[in-house]
Amino acid sequence: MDLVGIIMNAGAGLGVYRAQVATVSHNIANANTPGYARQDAVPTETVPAEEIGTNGYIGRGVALQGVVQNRDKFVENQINTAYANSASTSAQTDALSTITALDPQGQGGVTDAIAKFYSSLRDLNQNAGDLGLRQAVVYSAQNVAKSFNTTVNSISSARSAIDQNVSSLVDKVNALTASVADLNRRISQAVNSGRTPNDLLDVRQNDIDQLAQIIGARPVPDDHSNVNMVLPDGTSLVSGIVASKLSIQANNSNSNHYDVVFSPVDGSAPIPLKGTDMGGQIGGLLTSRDATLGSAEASLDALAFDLTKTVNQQHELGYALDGITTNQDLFVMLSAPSAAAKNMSVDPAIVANPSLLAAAGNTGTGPGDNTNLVALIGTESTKLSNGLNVQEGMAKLTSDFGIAVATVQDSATFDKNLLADLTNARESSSGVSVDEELIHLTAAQTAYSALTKVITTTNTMLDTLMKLI
Amino acid sequence: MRVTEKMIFESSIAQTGRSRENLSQAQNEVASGTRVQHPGDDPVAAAISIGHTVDKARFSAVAQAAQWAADELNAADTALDGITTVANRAQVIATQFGNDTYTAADRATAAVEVDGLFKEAVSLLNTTYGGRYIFGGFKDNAPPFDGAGGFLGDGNVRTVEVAPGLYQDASLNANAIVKGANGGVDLMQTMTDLSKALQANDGPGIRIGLDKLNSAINQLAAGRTQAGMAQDSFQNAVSTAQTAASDETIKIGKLLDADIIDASTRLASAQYALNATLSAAAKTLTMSLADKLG
Repeated sequence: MDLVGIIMNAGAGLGVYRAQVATVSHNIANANTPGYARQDAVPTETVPAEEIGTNGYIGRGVALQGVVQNRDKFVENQINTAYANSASTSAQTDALSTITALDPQGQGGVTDAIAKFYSSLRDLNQNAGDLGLRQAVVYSAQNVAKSFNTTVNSISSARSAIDQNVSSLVDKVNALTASVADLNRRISQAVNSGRTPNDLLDVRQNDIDQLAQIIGARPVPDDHSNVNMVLPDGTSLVSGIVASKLSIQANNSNSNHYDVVFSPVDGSAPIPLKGTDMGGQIGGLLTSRDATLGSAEASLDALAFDLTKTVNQQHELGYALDGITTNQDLFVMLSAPSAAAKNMSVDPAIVANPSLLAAAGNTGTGPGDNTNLVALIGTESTKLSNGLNVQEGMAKLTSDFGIAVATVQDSATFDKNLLADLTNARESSSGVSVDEELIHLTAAQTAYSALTKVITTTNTMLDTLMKLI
Repeated sequence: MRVTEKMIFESSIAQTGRSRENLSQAQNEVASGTRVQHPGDDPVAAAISIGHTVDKARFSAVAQAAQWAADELNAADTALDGITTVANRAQVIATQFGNDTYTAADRATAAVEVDGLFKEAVSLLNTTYGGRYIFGGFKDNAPPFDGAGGFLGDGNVRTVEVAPGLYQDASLNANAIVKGANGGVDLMQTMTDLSKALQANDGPGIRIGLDKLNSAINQLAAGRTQAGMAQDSFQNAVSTAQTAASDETIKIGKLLDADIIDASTRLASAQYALNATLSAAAKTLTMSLADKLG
């Protein structure tokens, strides 16, 4: 190999180490960038080596084989599901743990109000004709209705707040699916021209992670460097370079809460998606809204309806203080369980005139007749339509809600820990270690300095040779 | 395992967050004294506590109603005691003036005393408690006895709970005890007849009243026994219901209240853990090769 060849080889080596330093710089700059996978500028021996007669070969130096990413596909396949599950259970925990209306010791709650209502009936039972005690019963009955109203309103408000969250998350999903489709196009173009667009891959991976977190979409790579995104039920959000649109739509059979609606790219009719069709935050929020909170709301409605019906049925049998008026409801009769807790109220006639309370069991017996009051107190133990009395019904409602919250909290802790483990595994494989990069930097710098020395030395040799001419 | 700076940062954030969460939870428990604030904290305890909360209110209401019933029965017993005294005095007068040695004038004077006793009896029988005429039966909003001793009330007896779902008579049937309904003696009529016999100087008529007064006094005694037994039963009910309500409070406390010693220990432990986590994070985060390289 001639001296000029040595200088040329050393120069090529300088280029390789300059690329390594640039890669180190890029890695360090992106050490905290979400979705970034560290890159390596991989050197390779220049081949073929120069053959020296029969004595062997002299190497031609180094070349840059390429800049590659460090990704662990095994971990990344798992982390997508972990992101979706953790986001789902965390969203459910956040949505449910803020509901205080069913707290066991909450003052003004339904349990408290029902207990006080029956206590007021017991007080009146001692002196059935006393107008003050009758007023107290009316007041406590109003409190029962009010407690049902406020508790169900609190749950309804939480469900409506979820609608608002889902609405903004759907906008984010649309932005992310459009971004993934665009990145698919750009990545395919780069790959088709023989390049590996590492940084575009990073951005796309970050979008994929976010889609998993927000809606539980999972990536399905194809043979053209595209990543398609599909929902847990198989609905395709991104197909190659085409992104579908999601939107929201009020559902009048679900108290006008929002449905997430999928609009197929072929222009066919939009399809409403169920909460279980999706995952991530949106799936979790919709599950909380329609399953846990929806069930609590329905149970409250059923309880309010049954209590109203049971108390009224007994109250209608009794007689007012005048000993004549009968067939009077205590609570305004409700036509159906739907929205019963929201609409529960005390009959305005009784509010205006507590003497209409039907304490007496017979007509004309006198104000001390408490026989219907005894029967009204007995409704405390009457089995309602669910086979439970009112107290047991509230206990079951609280228990069901509590178990749902506790279960999702446990799942959230598990999912969070699993995600942390997988994130660590991914970071361990793909993350940037600044210490490592500094060592790489030092190694490249040392090699670079040594190569410049080679060039200087070879140049001196050339000068020496030139002086011979 | 390859450990990057980001892993250390993330780990520090997660561990500090976890330590702060533990600290916050322990602080809340110590400050509020409550372990179960939300149904999700302990669903079973929250659900069971509802039963105990309702039972506590029920027992408290039963105790209050039973106390009122006992007080009212005490008022009824006091009134019957006064009426018994009246009847005893009428009996003494009948015994004394049944002797034919007394003149018509003496007996007329005695009749005036009997009339006074009659009015006192009517007054006692129209005793009110809490605004109710306690001997009126269900017709308790008006005096049950008129000036002539006629009964305007009814024989109904009110019942009050002595335990949830278990009722006991909480008033007396004056129609039976005083007016002798169901085959007894009408005290008021007997006193009226005695007064008339005294005024008419009718010795045999006065002596007839003696036996009747004796029976009426026995009726009153039976009524007082009934009142006393019911009062005793209601007092027992008060005591039992108050104890039961107190037990329910204890049960609720056991289910929902924080164990302060345990919570305080966890608070101290969480403080220590947070301090250690912060120290470890501070030390780890300062270690970098960048500081060592010239």
